Amino acid sequence: MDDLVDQLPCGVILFTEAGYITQINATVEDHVGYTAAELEGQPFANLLSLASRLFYQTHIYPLLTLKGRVDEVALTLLSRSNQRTQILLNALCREVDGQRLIYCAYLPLDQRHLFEAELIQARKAAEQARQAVEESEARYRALAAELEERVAERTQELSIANSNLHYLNADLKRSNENLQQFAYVASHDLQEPLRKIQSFSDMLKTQYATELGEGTALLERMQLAASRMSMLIKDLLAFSRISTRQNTSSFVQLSTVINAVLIDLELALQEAHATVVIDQLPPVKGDPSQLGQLFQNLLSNALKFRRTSTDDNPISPRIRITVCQVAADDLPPAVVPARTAGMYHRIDVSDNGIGFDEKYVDRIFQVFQRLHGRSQYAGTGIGLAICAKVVTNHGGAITAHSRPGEGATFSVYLPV
Amino acid sequence: MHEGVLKRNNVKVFGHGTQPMLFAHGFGCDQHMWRFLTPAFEDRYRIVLFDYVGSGKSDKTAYDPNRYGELTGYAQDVLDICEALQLTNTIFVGHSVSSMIGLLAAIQQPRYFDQLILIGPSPRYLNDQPGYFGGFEQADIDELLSLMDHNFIGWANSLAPAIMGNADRPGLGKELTDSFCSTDPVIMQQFARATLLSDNRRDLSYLQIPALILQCADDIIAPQPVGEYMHQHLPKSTLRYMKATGHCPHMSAPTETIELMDDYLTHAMVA
Repeated sequence: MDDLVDQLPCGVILFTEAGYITQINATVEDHVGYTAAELEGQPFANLLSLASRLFYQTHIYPLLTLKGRVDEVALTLLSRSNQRTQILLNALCREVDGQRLIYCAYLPLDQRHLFEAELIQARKAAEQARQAVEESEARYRALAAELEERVAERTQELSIANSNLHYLNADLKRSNENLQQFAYVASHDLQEPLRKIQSFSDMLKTQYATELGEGTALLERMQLAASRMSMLIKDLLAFSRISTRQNTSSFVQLSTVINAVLIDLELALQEAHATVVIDQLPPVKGDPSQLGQLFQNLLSNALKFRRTSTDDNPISPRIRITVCQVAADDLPPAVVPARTAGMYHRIDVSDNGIGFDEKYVDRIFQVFQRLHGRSQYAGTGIGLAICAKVVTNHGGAITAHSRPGEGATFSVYLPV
Repeated sequence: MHEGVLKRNNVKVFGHGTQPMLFAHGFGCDQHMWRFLTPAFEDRYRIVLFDYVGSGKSDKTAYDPNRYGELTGYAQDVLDICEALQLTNTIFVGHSVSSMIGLLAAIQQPRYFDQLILIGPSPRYLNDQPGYFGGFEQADIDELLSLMDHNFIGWANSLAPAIMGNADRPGLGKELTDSFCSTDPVIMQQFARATLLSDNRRDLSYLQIPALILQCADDIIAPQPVGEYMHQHLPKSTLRYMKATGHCPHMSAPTETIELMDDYLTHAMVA
């Protein structure tokens, strides 16, 4: 090559269309460590890294052939000592003396190549970040849509359930009202004929005693039955009234309630020679009259079911009312209060009476359930049902522990 | 569907013959690379040219990374075109990786094809020592991908206009795009991986169609032992060694290529 080309600060290579080198300038000799004489007739591709040869064959050669030139192609030059130099190459096809030659000029770009590599990395990172953002946005949108759909579904389910519940509630309320109306009317209407039976049988007894003779005894049994029926009706009415929830939001002093009950029962207590020991009692939220009925029934039972000794003498009833607090977690499994609370008062009413077999404990709180014959112990079988009802109305629970002949303890749990 | 495929793959049909000759370009180029061969055949055959999705003037919006992550996706392009044009008795001419793409298509749907002409085929480009010399190591493939990064640096991928500030110089991206037959660097790199990491050695024995292997001298991409391996494992193959050097004899030595093809097709007809 002439001096000028040799001195150019860029590599200049000429090769044939088939890729065989015809000339190089001195700069190329410097870069690759071969002399021009050594390279003449050698394939140009031998000066490239394997990957660059691949790229040359697949991308550059077709372009040179089709368009006659390529610009700004990045390639890796391989020197005699296997040193790599990044180059930027321009090439064009020229027809010289009927032969097509490829003229190449290249510049080494080591520093620039590194900048480029950094730029490419940065761009890829930015692209990846953009994709990640897009993906996460898409995921977010999908999740939000799914959530919305689920909320809508759930809302619809709830609304259906709610309206069902609403109808059920209305039904229940109506049937409760009907039931109470019925109980009230029934007791009133039933009491009326009973009163007639009682007053006419009284008149029979006083005005026709002589004529009746021994018939008087039958008449008296009839009167007894009538008054028992009257009592049943009264108790039923009382139970049906308890069924309606009373105001239970204000505090009631249990001691006041129980003192009133004790005054009511004073005569019976005296007759039975009973002793009653009562702990300091807490105030509870509730309805004083319902709570009065609760303890009235419990104390009456304690008096009524008293024991007789082996020599048939009555044993004086000893009744204790004790109080403690129980955490919800410590409640016995069988005790399920009507309302959830953290703490419950446990009020025990225990006696030394006849007791009962604990396997009947569920039965005794049901209406008309009796464990003993009427002739032995009077009563309608409604008392404990009323107790259970009152406790439920107050958000609590009631249970009992006993063994036959060893007294009984009734435990009332009320939310603190 | 048919119209869609023809547009998607930029399909061009011409020539005065009836038997179709379907030309499939290789990695790095497009249908223009066949321009030195087709004049010799267009009088006698129906010439079909196309660009793979992602190459040349194909519809790049049809590019699906899942489909084209493997050569089978490209083989589907070939079959879609055969179906769309109702081709039968086709002579499939594939360059480089398209040899394997044509092989996969012809194994899947032999009814479209009469002969395959494979220019510089290789069933596996990576070395698998001992016993198989493909020509390349993984490090060479990695270097090629990096080289592609540097050569497509100016090309506008979705972020480039913002980062490179090309928005007010739209010509720059366009020029660089046109400077290579293939365009989108992301697509081309995936094509490079699908091509260079493929291993179709096990598929060779399944080909029922006769095939001509054209083996160049001094081809680093498909060296002579690879051509011989192909010939050994393709059941109905003919191997012809060429005087032409390099990897693109259809461009560097069209006359020799045409002669060998004609010779093969004449003999095939006689047989």
